Amino acid sequence: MQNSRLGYLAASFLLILALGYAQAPDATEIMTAALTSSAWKDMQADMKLILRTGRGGERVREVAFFSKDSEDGLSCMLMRFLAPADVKGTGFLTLETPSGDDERYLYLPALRRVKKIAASGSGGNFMSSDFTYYDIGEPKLEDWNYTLVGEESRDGRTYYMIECLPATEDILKDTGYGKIVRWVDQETLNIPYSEIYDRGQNKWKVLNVLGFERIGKVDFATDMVVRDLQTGHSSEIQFSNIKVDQGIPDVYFTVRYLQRVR
Amino acid sequence: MTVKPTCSLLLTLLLAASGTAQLQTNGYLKGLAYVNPHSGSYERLGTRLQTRFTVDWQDRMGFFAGINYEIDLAESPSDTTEQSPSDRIEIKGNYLLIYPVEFYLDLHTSFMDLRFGQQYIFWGSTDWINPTDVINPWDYENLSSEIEDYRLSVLALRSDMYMGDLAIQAVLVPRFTPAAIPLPPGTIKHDRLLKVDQAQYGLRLTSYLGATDVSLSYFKGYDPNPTITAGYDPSALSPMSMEATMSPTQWRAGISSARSMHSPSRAKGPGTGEPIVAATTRLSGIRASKRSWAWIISPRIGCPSIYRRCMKDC
Repeated sequence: MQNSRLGYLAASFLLILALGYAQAPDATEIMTAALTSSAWKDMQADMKLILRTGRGGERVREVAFFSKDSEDGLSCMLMRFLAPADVKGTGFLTLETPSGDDERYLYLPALRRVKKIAASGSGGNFMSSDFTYYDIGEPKLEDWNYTLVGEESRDGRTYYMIECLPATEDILKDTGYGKIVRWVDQETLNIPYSEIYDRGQNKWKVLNVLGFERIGKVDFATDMVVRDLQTGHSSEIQFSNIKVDQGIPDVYFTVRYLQRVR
Repeated sequence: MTVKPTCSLLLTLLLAASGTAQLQTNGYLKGLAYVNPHSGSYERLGTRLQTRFTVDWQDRMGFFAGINYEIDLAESPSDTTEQSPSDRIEIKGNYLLIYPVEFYLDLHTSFMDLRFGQQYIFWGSTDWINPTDVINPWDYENLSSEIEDYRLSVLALRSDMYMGDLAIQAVLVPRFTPAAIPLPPGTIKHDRLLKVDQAQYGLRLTSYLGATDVSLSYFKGYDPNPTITAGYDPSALSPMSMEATMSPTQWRAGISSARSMHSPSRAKGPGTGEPIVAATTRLSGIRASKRSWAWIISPRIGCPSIYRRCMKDC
C-alpha cells in the first residue's frame, strides 16, 4: 500500500518533469536542428549585394557565387564580382574546416595580387557591406551558448526566442558581437529575424530574412537584409538562379583559380 | 617588327578555337582633365574609352585584350612625332591615341598556368611600396590614381606553379621597357632593343605563414630608370645637352612580407584587408660593363594601420 503510493508519487513527479522538459525544449537542440548543414554537395547562384546608405544612396554589386562541402568537413565558398566595373574581377575565397582553421583569400584585380585575410579578422566588413566575413561564412554552432529566453508570435507564426552568447573570449573579440537574439520558427525552424548586440550590449544590427527557397529538404535564405542601427546603413544579399549538385570542380576553390581572372 | 608573328599566331589560335569559345566584352568611359597648377593650362583634356575583350575556352585557354582609345585636346598635333613610352604598339593621330593596355594568351594545364603577351606582373607583398616590384616600369609622365596609368605593361612570358601553399613564378621578359620619364626636349635617348641573349628573367616564391604573406624573389635585368648625364659644350649651337643612357645590368633579390588583418570596426572601409605590418627588402647588385659590382640594400618597413590611427587622432 505504502509502496504503491510512493510509486505513484514518483511516477507523477517524473511525468511532471518530462512534461516540463517537453514544454521548454533545449535551446541548443533547437539551434542544432535549425542550423543542420545543407542537403546538397555544391551550389552555384547569381548573387546581388545591395549597399544602401541611410540617406537613400544605393549601390548594387553582382556576384557569381559557388559553394561546395567536401566529405572531410571542409566547406568552400568562392565569390567572383561581375559588376560594377570598379570591383569587377575581385574574388573572395573561404575554406572553412570544422576545427575552425578558416582561410580567407581576397584577389584584388587592380593590384593583381591575392591577399590572405587573418582568420582572427572575422568581424571585418565584407566588401564595404554591413555583413561581416563571419556573417557570410558557414554558421558555426559551437561558437555560441544558447538559452531559450521566450516565445513570441509575429505575423501569425510562433517563434522561439533564443539568446546566443559568445562561447569564448576569442569569438567575442573576432566577431565584435556581444549577443545575438534569434527568432526560430517553431514549425519550420527557419530563422527570419535576428538582433545583434555589440560588445557593450547595445543593439547594433538587425538581420531579417525576406525570402526562403525550398531546395531539397532545406529552406535556403535567398534574401537577407542587415541594417546597422547605429549608422543607418543597410545591406541586402539576394540569391537567384540557384542550381545545386552541378559537380563544381574542386579547382574552383583554390588560390590558383582565384587569380585566374581577366 | 617582332609583334606581327605574335599577333597572327594569336589570331589563328582565336579563330581555330572560336567554336567552343565564350566571348565577353566590357569597358569604361572616363573623362580626363589634368591642370598644371603652375601655368594654369591643361596637361590633358579629353576622354578615354577602354574596351576589354575576354575569350575563354573551357578553363583550358583564355585570351584577353584591353585597348584604350584616348582623345586629348591638350595634346597639340605637332607632338605626334614624340616618342611614346616603351616602343609600345599604338596608333596616333591628331588628338587621338589608340593603344593596348594589356593583351595576352593564357594556357592552363593541370600543373601550370602560362601567360604570354603584354601584361602586368606585380611583385612584393605590401600594398604600395615594394622595392621587389621590379618588372613593370613606372610611367612618370602619366599622373593618375590608376595603376594601369602609372605603370607600363611589358611583353613577357610567365609561368605559375602551385604546390599546396607555395606558388612558384618564373618570368621571362625578352624586351626591355624603359620607364617613361619627362625629360627636357632634345635629350638624346639610348634605350634601344637588346639582343636575345640579353633577355631579362626572374623567379619568385610566394607562400603564407599563417596570415602573413611572404615572397622571395630574384630578377636579372636592367634598371628601367635611365642614367641621365648632362654635358656642356660652349661651341655648340645649344650648349647644354642631356643624354639618357640605359642603366647597366642588375640583379635584384628581395624578400617581402605583409600581414593583413580586419578589425571588428564599424568603419566602412574598402574591406580589402589592410596590412598591419608590411616589410620589404631588396638587395641589388649593379654592374656597369666589366667594372666591379656595387651593392645596394633597400629595406622598408611600414605600419599603415598605426599611421592611419595617428592621422585620425590628430
